[in-house]
Amino acid sequence: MDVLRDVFDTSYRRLVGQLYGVCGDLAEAEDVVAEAFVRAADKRHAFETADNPEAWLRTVAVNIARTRFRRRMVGERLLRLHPPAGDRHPDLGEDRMALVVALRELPVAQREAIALHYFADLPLHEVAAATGSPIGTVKARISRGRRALADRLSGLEFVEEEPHA
Amino acid sequence: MPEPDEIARAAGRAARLPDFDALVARGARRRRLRRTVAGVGLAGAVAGTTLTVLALGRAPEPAPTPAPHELSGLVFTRDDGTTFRSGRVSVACVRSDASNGGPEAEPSTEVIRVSGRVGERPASDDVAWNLRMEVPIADARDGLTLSLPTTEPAYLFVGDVRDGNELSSAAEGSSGTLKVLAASCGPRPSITFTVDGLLGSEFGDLADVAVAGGLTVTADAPTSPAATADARLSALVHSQTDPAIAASVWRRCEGGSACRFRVAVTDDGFRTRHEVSRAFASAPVVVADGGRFHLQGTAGLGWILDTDGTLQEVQRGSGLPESPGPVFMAGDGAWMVLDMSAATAYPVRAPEGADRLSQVVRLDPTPGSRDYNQPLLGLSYADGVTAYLSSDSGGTWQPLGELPEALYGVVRRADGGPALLVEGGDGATLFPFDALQELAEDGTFHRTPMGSDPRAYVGPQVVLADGTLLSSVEAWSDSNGAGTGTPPGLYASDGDDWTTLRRVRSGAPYDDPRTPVDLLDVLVDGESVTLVAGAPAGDDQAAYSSTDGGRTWRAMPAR
Repeated sequence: MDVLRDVFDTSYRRLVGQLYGVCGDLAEAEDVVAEAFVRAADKRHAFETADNPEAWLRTVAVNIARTRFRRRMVGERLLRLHPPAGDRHPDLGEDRMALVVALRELPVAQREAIALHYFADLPLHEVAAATGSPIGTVKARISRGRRALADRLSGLEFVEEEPHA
Repeated sequence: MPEPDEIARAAGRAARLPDFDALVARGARRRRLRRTVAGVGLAGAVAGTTLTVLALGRAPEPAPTPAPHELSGLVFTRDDGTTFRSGRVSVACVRSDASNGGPEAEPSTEVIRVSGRVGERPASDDVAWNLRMEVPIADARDGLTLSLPTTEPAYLFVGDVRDGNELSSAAEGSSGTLKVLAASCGPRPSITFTVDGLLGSEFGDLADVAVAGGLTVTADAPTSPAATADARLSALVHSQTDPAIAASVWRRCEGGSACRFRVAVTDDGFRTRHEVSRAFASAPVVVADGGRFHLQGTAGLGWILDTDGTLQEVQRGSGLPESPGPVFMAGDGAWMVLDMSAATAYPVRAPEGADRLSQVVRLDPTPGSRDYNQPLLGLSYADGVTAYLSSDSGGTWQPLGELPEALYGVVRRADGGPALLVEGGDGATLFPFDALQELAEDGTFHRTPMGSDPRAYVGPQVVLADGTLLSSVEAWSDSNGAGTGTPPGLYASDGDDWTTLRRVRSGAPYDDPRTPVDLLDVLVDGESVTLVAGAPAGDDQAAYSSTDGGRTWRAMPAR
């Protein structure tokens, strides 16, 4: 049984969807998830012995996204062989696209927490695991991120008042 | 609100599936490369040892660590055998970029950073650097050995100009050792380090690159634009996006002539600096916005100052700014919004029905926000003080609650709380700390009055991540002269009880209660707060910084 193949078949699209909120761009989300699978192929033993292989991939993907984001922030004029690809997005309505755009304006830590908790519907402890942060910190980032999104999007309301456990 | 989980599902459905076998092949290739390099290294060492034994009849001594003067740079070897070398580099002590989203996002760490270039630089290339190394100074001071792949915040990064390959010691395919032999921060940061190993490519389809060699990098000796006994630091302002970009204002009094104010600016933490050719009769107000500064004198609209020391006079525009920046009052009393990139200032229109705007401030509701997209708060005095909020630089206004007639300043926050104003009377030279006003979500203000016996007169204030309010108290109302009454200095509230103020017990050079902390600048970066203070009179340094709420301080360059 090839665990990696099985996880790829069942989880790839779901992981891309989850990372889309974090990255704010579909092509970027595809790249980081693909890279996470490459690392899983490189570190077979660590991947195959993980309690939750999908969570393992998600944590690796979030770290890759952060590293790539940091590179862009501090060295975004670095010479590249190919010009960066234009943004790609799924076919979303205006409201949903506005939310994605607003999410991109948040600080990275808040964006990660909001995207993984609300877009990916992960409970707090899984968001904490994926981001390597304490649950209390995740809660604070979600609260701040919600306020910041509400400022940017009039009429925005979250279905629940408090982050779900 | 659009269902966020449906957004994720839509993205998943639209995702393009990569070739699974190709992903596996890339992973397998990395694994092979890592094992091959380790094997070659080991085999090479064994072979070398064997040859030496044959020649000398005994085992050789281990190769000594090269002395700093023997280190001649870093050599990078591609998988085709071609090489490129490190070129000109510089060193500085800064906060890491982890707060921008690196694996350890909060709080950012003080690191010693080597930055520079590798390879030939094409004429059309405006890239500032393509070689960078950072290690936490706390770990590196006494020497440090890291095995690759490194973990944040330590890393070595290089960009290969030939093919755009990006290589990092943190990439999964990396191996080998990074050694810091010596490192120090202070007025002249310095580091000596060696690297020997393999840097993994950030791109899965480009090759890893070997690296060997070492560097000793020392910052140039700072020179002062006002290195006279009468020179005093009047202001020190850092860019909120890059603390290495800063401007300092110096008061220089020469002999019996009138004092003048000079401005110096830097983009590398004062390793180098440019002095502005113009002198000022009174201290100019300096505000940072990204990598540039707004200098404002007593009249006119001021100038835009670039880090090469050039000044560009600000022009008056009409309408709304394209890129809104800092808000300021022009010499004629009009409130303006500055578009730094266009060097143009735009008058802020008063709300419809309001008399005129008596004060305009830009709020900071997003902790660590690094741009000027925060809303404007406008205050109009007519039958009380009505506050208004504008998110489009005064194009439209939304009325808020009422406020007492006073002057207001913005208190920056690192705790994620709502917009906070400090309310004070119209003090001629000192700002009385009368109350705090917190803007609630419903647009009303929640007022926290301060005690008046004695009353504090404050300078910069900030709320730390744990909710403690730090205030630079320049004077107390019970002071009748030098050394009497409550001493000035840095005061902290008792947690989030902002009505209490206790003097912060600071270490050197402010450990003497008669030497107050003269707070010049506050940098807020997420939950991290850096205080910048002028050095006490007679101190060799110009300025000091603190990252622990004013308890300990270290010298920082300011000239």
